[in-house]
Amino acid sequence: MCGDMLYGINLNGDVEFSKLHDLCRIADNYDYIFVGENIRFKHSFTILPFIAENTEKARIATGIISPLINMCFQIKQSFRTLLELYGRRFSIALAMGDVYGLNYLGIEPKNVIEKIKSCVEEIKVYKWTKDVEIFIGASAPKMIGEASKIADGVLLNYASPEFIGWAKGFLDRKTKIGCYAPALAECSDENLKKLLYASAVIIRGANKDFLEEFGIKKIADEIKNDITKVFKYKDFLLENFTIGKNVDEIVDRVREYKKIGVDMCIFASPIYYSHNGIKRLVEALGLCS
Amino acid sequence: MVKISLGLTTSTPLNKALDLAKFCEDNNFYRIWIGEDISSREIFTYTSIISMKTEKIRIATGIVSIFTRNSWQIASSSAGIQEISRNRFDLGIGVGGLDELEKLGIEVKNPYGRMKRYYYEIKEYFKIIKKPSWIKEPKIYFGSRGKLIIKLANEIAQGNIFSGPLDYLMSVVKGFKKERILWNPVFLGDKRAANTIVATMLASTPAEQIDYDRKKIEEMVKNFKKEGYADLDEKIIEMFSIYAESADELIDKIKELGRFFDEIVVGIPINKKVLEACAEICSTE
Repeated sequence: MCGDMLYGINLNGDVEFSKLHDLCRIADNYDYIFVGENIRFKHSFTILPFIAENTEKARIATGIISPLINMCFQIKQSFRTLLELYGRRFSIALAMGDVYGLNYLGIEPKNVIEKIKSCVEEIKVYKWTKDVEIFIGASAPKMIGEASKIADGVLLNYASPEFIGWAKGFLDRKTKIGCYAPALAECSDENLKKLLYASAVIIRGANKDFLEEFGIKKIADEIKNDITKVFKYKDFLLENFTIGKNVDEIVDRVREYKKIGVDMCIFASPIYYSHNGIKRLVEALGLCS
Repeated sequence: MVKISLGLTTSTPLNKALDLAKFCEDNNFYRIWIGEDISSREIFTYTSIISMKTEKIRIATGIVSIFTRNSWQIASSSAGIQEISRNRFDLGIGVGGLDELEKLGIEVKNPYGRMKRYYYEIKEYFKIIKKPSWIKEPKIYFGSRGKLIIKLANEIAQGNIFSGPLDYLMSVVKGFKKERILWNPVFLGDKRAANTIVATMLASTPAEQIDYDRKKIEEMVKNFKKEGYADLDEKIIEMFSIYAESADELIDKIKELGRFFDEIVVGIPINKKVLEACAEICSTE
């Protein structure tokens, strides 16, 4: 680790393996590589070994994987399989998952806290998991509180320091706090559109208490009903639901995060669509190479 | 011309599996089948690793349980492995070990309906997964002993993986028009291993599929469960396995089975001498 903040980068299963190979070389400069889950992407169980094979230093994690979609014993077994060949450099981030994805698969998001808690317990039972950090992705107050009691860290998908400050108030125990939100290090029209859609995924799946607290329920509902409304709220979304849309904005935001006690900053999709961007970000953040 | 393939299960340690995979690839085996031991390593992670570390041999799950995953997980994992392997992947699905499913508290209801539904759902989900255009949909095989699902495999699947008593299988494969894959244990002079493994198979095979004195079978199974070892007679061992005392005899037996099956899987317990004998077949066929 280098510096007082841990940095992670999110890579997803929509990247072709031929491109992922090059991405891994750059991503290995970050402290963590998080592999997300999306119903239109290749499953993370097939991406994780490829990343492990093509990196040396970074810790590799699911980020996130849903125990509502995947049976917990399989999540556990996948990591056990990886550890056998690639050693102790894995972490697991669990969360409910995207509501739209769950709906598409006909999975009702019921008893989410209980399911995540029991999954953490099931994983922690084994000796070999002592070096496997477990993070929980959370946005609702109750989930944040419960996650802080049982996980090694809580990943918030809020980007605005104000939102993060609010979420921190629900922690029941001091634990690592990670900000895991969309970012772009090099902007293009196409990638900016992707950044806006990524922020829309967060606001449309956001918790009711949070939306009411900040008086943004109406905006969330509008976007839920019509995704093209992201353009109407472009500036608001970029400011509050993304870490930044270029290297300078990201560096400024990271400075703010440090002030409010964020321990980890994970740059989420669409950051990885620009290899050059993530390379420049490595330099700008002064990451150890 | 019979094809010879390697059969692994996810309980095989990865380094050993990779050594075996390399041997089989270098010796022109046709495919590596990977069976899911539900309580051991995760099959898609495992298969991805084997795919990544091989170059030309075909790779398949044989089988992955449809009772422990939803069809999207199977499709999205297949898409990943198909890309890593550059279209060398085939997907084998089946019910899975009943004892293991029971331990997980999973009730096996309507396996026929579920197999059919999963077959079509996997194909549909596969289409929506973002992947390069050169990726081909994996061929789907079934792994079943039951006549109903075998009939379904004959209608819609690429083939079926058969295992169990040979005379029963011979009667079933007669009308089977798709790929017929035989995965029974293969032994070269190791009676003790043959006894133990065949006794395990005997214990989980429905009595009506075994053409043998039922009382004797019950007795053998009872002894095996009690002692962990059974002294089986030759007829039973021949029925459930490919057993030979010499490499030449083994080669002849495998070639003879090639009249009824398209592919013979040589699996656990893996014996170097058996693999060498099979490599000889692969080099001549």
